[in-house]
Amino acid sequence: MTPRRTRLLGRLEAFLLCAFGVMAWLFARGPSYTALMNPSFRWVTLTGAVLLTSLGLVLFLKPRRAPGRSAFVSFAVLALLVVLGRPDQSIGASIVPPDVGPVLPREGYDELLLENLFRTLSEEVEDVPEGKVVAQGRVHTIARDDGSVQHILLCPKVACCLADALAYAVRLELPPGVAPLEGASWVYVYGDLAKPDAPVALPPFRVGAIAYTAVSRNYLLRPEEFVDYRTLLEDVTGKIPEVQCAAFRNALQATGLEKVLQGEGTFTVFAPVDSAFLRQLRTLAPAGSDTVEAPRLRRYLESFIVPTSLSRSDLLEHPTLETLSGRRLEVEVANGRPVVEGARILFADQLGRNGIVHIVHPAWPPAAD
Amino acid sequence: MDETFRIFAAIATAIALEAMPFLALGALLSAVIEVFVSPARLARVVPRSAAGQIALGLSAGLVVPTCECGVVPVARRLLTKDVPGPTVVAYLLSAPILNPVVLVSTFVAFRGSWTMVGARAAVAVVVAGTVAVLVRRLPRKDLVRESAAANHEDAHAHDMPGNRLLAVWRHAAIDFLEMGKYLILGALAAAAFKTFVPPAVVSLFEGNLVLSILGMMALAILLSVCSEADAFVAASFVTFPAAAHLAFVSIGPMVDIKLIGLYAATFRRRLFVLLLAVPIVLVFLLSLLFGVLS
Repeated sequence: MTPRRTRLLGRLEAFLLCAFGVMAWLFARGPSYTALMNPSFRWVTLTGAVLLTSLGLVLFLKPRRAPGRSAFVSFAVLALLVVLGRPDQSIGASIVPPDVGPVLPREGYDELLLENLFRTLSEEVEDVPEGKVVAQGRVHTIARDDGSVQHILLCPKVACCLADALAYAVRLELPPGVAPLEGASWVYVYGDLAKPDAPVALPPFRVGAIAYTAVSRNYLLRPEEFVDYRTLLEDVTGKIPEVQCAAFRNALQATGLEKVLQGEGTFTVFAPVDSAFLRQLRTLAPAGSDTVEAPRLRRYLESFIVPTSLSRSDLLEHPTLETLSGRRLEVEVANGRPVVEGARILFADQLGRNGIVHIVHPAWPPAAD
Repeated sequence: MDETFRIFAAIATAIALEAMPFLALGALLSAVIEVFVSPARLARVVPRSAAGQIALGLSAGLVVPTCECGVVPVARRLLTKDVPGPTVVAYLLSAPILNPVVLVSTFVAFRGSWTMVGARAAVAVVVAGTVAVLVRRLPRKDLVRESAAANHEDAHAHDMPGNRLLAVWRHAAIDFLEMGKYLILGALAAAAFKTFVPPAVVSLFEGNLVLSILGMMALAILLSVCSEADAFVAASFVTFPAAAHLAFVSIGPMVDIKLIGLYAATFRRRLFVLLLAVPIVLVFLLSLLFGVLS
């Protein structure tokens, strides 16, 4: 190799070292980091990135006397892989649950994640307490030979990086009449931990970037309650069938507010039951008419939506709430429970993908124009 | 882009990103030793007796916690500084296990099992000690490859007079480049294994003690999981016996795909063979013994 080419190669490998450091820095600062790495290690990656960039800069000033092609090629291959593979958040979809906001639907849900439950099971001792448990995980479905579907709850875990991603898992035995769960959906489960008469061994399987999944042979979970990560609007109407909020839902759709709720940001929705909502709607309609003008209706609906996610316990700490319409709602506390603008919360903390729904009664009257 | 390829690329990138800071820190520590610590000073620290030299190597990880990626450049530098082979090899093999971070993670992953922590530490001591004893028989010139020495001289030739800090940085950069290429190759190989080998293959090994130990050792070598995380991975293989878990967490920090590349780049053939063969044989036998006794 001529001296000129040697110098060029030396500078190129120093440049690649810098580029690797910069790439690591940008990656650690970006949203894709959690898909590939345990977020606790972000500071380690950032430190390494700074160090590497500085190493590259010093080497650029004084390149190696005898640079090897192999180092250059291997770093170039890695760079090519990053460019072609574009590792982003979608890679971590099988591992990282969606952002669900700060509140869990049942007290203690986060205290016994499936990971802990499964580690208990893995001890294979006889005195594992059977009974009610709560778990968060990702649903996986396997078709049985008889045509039915075996549901499995996975708890993905990343200790350091994607290479050590694994999933603890337990079979779900759905009660009769419950519709099959959708595969790849994320759910909270509340139910009974049970030990069937005979162990059931399922082969390990691959889920996305998780190469190995260990399913408990000796235990299964009989769910009583699911809370899934559905859209906010679906939760309003579909989550609690015994409460009728159809009028409120229809009004949201008619005024286009449904799209707002499905968009960016988190929300708290106070959804009045039908009877209360329709009573107030009648006062909004002009004399002699049954219909409410759309802008007026929208403004009224906006007074039920707060642009942040607040649980029932959060409400206790907020004496006033500013809604999308600009109206301020007064929150009082009666017997330790929040009362919003004079309305009681019938069902609190219905968790949605991007916020929380509280079912209220009665509906507060429209603000004076 | 094909989803499988994207997963392969993501895993390879993740391994490289995870190991990169530790390799860089190892290279930096190695460079500090090179520039600031003279062979005479090191010689004063190292005991004269063989037992003392090995004991120093075994305990060094407790003082200077180092993962398996960072330990290789440090070991190479120590050898070029005339630190006795047994000390360096004992440090090389034991430091990724006999350090506080890894021992605590083992304790947590195995739900407070002192037996597993003790067994892992014991295997590390026996294996590292044995290789260290065997290294005493090798001539000193049969330890480090010439290419490593050439880089060493290249770095010296370019030292900037009067600025030792820049010299440290330049040494570290050269070390990182030399080691980094093998790290990347190892990351690619481990990612390929994790992406393309059917998971059901693993379950073929779980029914028999010997097969389960061999299977988990092969898995540890192919997966190249960091020693700080490997206990969690091992514990997840609940259908495998404790002896297989022990084999997994013992062999991985001493021999895996990315380490094989790093060893090949650093050490001469006889030491390279020792570093691979002895840990594999001993970890298997000790895990088998653990399985029979437990």
